[in-house]
Amino acid sequence: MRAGIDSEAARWIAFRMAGVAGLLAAGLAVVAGRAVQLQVVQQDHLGSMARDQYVRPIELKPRRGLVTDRNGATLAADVQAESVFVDPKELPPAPAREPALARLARVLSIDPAGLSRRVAASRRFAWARRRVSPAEAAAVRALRLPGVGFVQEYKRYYPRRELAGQLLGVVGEDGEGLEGVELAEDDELQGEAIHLDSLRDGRARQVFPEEGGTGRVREGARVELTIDQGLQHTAETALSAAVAGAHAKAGMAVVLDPRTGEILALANAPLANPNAVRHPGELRNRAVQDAFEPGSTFKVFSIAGALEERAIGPEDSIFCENGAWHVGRHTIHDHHGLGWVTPARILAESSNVGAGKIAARLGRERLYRTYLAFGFGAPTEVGVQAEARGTVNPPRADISLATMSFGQGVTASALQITTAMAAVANQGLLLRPWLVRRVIDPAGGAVLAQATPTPVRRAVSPETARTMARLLEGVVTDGTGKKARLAGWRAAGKTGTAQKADPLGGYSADKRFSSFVGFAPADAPRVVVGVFVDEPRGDVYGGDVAAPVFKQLAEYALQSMGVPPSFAPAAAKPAPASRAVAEAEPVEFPVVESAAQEAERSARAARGGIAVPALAGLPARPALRTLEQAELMGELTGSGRVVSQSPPAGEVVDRGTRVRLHLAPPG
Amino acid sequence: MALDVPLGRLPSGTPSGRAFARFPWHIAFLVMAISAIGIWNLASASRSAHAPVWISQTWWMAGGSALALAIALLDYRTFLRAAYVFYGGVVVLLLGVLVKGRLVMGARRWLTVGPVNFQPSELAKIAVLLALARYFHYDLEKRRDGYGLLSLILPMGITLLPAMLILKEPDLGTALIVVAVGATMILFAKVKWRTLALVGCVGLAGAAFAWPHLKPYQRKRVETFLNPAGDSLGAGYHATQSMIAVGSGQALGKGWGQGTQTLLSFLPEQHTDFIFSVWAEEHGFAGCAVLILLYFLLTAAALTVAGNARERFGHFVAVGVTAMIFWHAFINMGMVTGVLPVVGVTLPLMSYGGSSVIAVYFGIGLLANVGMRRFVN
Repeated sequence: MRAGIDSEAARWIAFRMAGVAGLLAAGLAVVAGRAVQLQVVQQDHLGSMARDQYVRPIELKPRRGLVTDRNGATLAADVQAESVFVDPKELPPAPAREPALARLARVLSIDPAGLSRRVAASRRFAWARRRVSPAEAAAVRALRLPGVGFVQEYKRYYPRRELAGQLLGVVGEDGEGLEGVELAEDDELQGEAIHLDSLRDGRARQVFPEEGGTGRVREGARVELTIDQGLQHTAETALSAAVAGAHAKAGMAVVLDPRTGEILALANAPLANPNAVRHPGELRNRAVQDAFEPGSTFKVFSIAGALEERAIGPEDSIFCENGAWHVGRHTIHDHHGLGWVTPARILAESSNVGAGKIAARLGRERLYRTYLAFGFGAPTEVGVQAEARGTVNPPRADISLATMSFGQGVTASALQITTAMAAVANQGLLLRPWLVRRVIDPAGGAVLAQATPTPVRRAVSPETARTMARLLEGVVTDGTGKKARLAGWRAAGKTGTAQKADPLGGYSADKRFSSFVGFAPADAPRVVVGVFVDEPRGDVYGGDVAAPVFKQLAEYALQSMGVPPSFAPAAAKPAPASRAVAEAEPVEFPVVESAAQEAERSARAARGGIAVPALAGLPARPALRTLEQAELMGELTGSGRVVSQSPPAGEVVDRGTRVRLHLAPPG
Repeated sequence: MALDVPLGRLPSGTPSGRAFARFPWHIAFLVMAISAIGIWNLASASRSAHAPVWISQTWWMAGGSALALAIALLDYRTFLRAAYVFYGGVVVLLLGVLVKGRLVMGARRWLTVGPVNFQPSELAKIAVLLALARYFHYDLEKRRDGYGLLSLILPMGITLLPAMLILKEPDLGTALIVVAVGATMILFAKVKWRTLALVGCVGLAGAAFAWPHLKPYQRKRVETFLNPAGDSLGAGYHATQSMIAVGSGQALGKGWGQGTQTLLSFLPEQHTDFIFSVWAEEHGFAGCAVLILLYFLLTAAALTVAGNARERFGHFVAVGVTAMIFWHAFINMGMVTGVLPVVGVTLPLMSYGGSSVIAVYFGIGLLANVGMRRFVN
C-alpha cells in the first residue's frame, strides 16, 4: 500500500492540529482567567487575608507608674519578675511529658492537673505561672526541661506591705488595676502602650516587628496621694490595737485636713497586704464602701441644723423629760434622765430625748435638708469605686424624725460622717474629700494633673459652725468624750454608740457600732478624725473604744504639722471630779421601744428587782435575747453554749445589771 | 503538506550539519527564558528556610541542556529502535522503586542507583511517549478508519501499565500526567467516535470504582478542592494559602524577595509544586501573564514541530512532548490558582527538582531532534 496522504487524512490532520492548539490555548486561558480573578477581582480580599495571617499586632505596655504618699514615699511600684511559660511542641513527647510537667508544677507550687490542661489546650504557648520569685525561676532553670521558657514581666510590689492596703488595691495578671487607687487611677498609672506589628510565619513563630509602630510612648504616670504614710501607719496601728483590744469585728479611721478636704489617712482594720491577698473581701475599703447607722454622732448635724435655722438658740433650755419621752406609741429613753438643759449638755451627755426634741422644733423637712446639706445620702465623689452613698429619707412620722436626729434610721459611710464633721470644722463649708494630689509624668516630671480643694456647698453658716465647735468642745471637756482630750490642744468631737440593726428585725441587744468623730484644735481646726469600731465587746462605748484612737491620731497629726499647742500640756485641766454624768452613754436597752414593751417593763420595775434568768445550755443569741427581755445586759466570753453565768440564775439584781456568760462548745 | 514522506520507511540520515542549521532556535530561546525565570524565582523562594536550591537547579539545568543537545544531535531512528527497550527498562525501574524505593513522607518514589537519587516516574513519561510513538509509527497505517475498542487495548496498556505502577508508589500527580500524555497521543491517532464515547463512560465508571481505593489523603484533596474554605487549616491549607499568595500579589506583585507568604513559610512545597504561587505573589498578574504566554508559545512551537514532522514517529514524539509540557503546566498552575484539586505535579522548568528538569530537557531534546529533521519543501 502506498504510504500517502489523501485529502481526508489531510483534513483530519488539520482538524486535530487545530483542536489541540485550541485545547492548549483554552487550558492556559483558563489559568490566565483565574489569575485575573484572584489577582485583580479578589485582590483586596486575598491581600487582607494574607496580611491578617502574618501580621500580629502586639501591645508593649510601659512600666506601670508609682503610687506615692504626699511626701513622695513609694507605696506601690513595678519590679521586674520572670514569668514561666511552656511551649507544648518543644516538651518531651508523651511518656516523659506528664512527669516533666508534674515536676514543673511542683517547683512552681501550682496544680499539675491545671497545668496539663493548659498545655493540652494550646499549640505553642501556655503560661505555667506568671511572676515567680527569683528562687523559683532558678529552680525551674535547674530542671533543664525543654520547652519551658521565661518572659520578663513586671510585678506590682507594695513595699510597705499592709500600709493602706485597701486604699491602694491590687492589679491583675496583665497589670490592670482591679481595686482601690490602682483601679481608680488605672489610666494614669498604665500610661500608653506602644502598638507594634510583629510578623508571624507559617509555623506561628514571631519573626520580627515591622519597622515603626504607632502610638507614642507615655510611661505610666506617678500618682501622688494626699495620704501621709506616717499618719496612715499611726492610724492603722492605733486602730488595729483598738479593734483587737475590744475584740471587735472591724474598724475604720479617717483623717482629713478640714481646710482642704485632703484625706491624710484612711485606715481599715483588719489590715490587708496587697502583695499577698488571701481573699478578695479583705481588700474592701469599708470606710468608703460601707454605710452603717451612725448613732449619736448625727446629733452634731441635727443640732447644727436647728441652730442654723434658729429653731433653737445655743442658750435655750430644753426639757429632757427626765429620761423617757413618749412620742406617739413609742418612748425614747435616756439612761440618765435630764431636766431642763441647754443644747451643750444635750450633746455632752448625748441625750436622745434632747436631740429628738430639738429635731421636733426643726421639723421633718428642715432636718432632712440639713442632712442633705452635710452631704449625706450622696456620694462624696472621692474617686473610690463603689462608694456607699448611704440612705437618708425624709422622715414620715414624728418618731422617725426623733430617731433620725440621733442617727437611727439613716445610714452613712465613715468618710461621709468625717467629711460632714470637717464642714463643721471648716466654718460650715463642705469640701469634697480627695485622695490624689498630683499626677506626674515620670519622664519630664511635668505635672499632668493637680487637684485643688473643691467646695461642695455651705452646710451651715460660719457662726453656727463656731457655736457647734464650742458645744462639741464641751463633749470632750466634760461629756461622754473625755478620753478624747489631747495633751496640749483643745479638741472637739462627738461620741456615738449605735445599736446595730438586727437582721432578724429591730435592733441587736449586743452588737454595737462605736465611734468618735472630732477635730482639733477646737478654735482653729487643722485635723478632723473619725474613728469607727464595728462590734466591740466589753467596753462598747464610743467614748471608751474610739475616743482614745482619736486622741492618738489627732496628737500625731498636730505634732507632725507643727501646730502650736493651745495650752501647755502640763497645765491641761484635770478631769473634773466625778460627776453624775456617766462616762458611758446609756444604751442598755433599746432607746426606742413600743408602748407595749414599755408597759411590760414598767410593771416589772414596779415589782422591784429583776431575777436573773437561767441561761445554761442556751446558744449565745437566745441567751442575749432572754437577757434583753429581762432588761439585763449580757457579756459574753467564749463561744458555743452557755456553761456558766454570773450572777447566778434566780438572783435579784437591778435593771441593766451586767450578766457575764461563759460559753463553751457543746460536748 | 506534512507527512508527505512515505510512512513506515525512514528517510536516509541527513548530514548533521544541514540538520543543525534547522535547529529550532525559537524553542531553545523559550526554554532558556523559562529556565532563567525559574532560577531567578527559586532564588527568591529559597530565601526563607531552604538551602539555596537555585544553585543546584542551575547545575541540573546545565546538565539537562547538554543532554538535550546530545539527544537533538542523535539520529532519531535510534529512539525508534530503542523505544521499547527504554520502555521495558523504565517498567523494571518502576517495579524496583516499589520494592527498594526510599520511603519519603509515606511514598516510595525515589530510587538510589550508586550516587544518584532519582524518580523513575519522571522517566516513565518519556518512555510512554516514545513507546506510543513507535507503536503508532508502525500501527497507524493499518487503522485508517480510526481505532476501535479492541485495537486500543495495546496502546492503552502501554500507557496504563506504568501509570498503575506510579499510582502504587503512590504518586497520583505523575500517574495522571502519564495517562494524560498517553490519552492525548491516542486521541491524536484518531479514535472512533463510538469508542471514544464508550471509553469515556467506562472511564467515569472507573473513577467511581476507584474512589474507595484512593488513599485517604488523595480523596481529601478532591473533597477539599470542592470546598477549600471548609478546612482551611487542615486539608484545605495548601489550596487556601496558595490562593492567598496568588491573590495578594495583585496586578503587579510585591516585588522579588518581598513575598510574605513565601518569606514566612506559609506554603510548604513552595519551591517545588507551589513555585507558581511564589511567582504570582511577587510578580502579580503581569508576571503570571508573561509566564503563561511563554508556556503557550513553547507548546505552540512544539505543536508546530509536530505538524511539520517529516514522518510519523517524529510527529507523535512531538505531540507527546507537547502534551507533557502542556499538562504539567496546566495542571500545576490550575492547582495553584485553585481551578484544579491539589495534586503533586511540577511546573516544567520552574519547580525545583533534578528528575523533573532532566525529564523536561529530555523531551525538549527530542523535540529539537524532530524539529531539525522537519519537512521542508
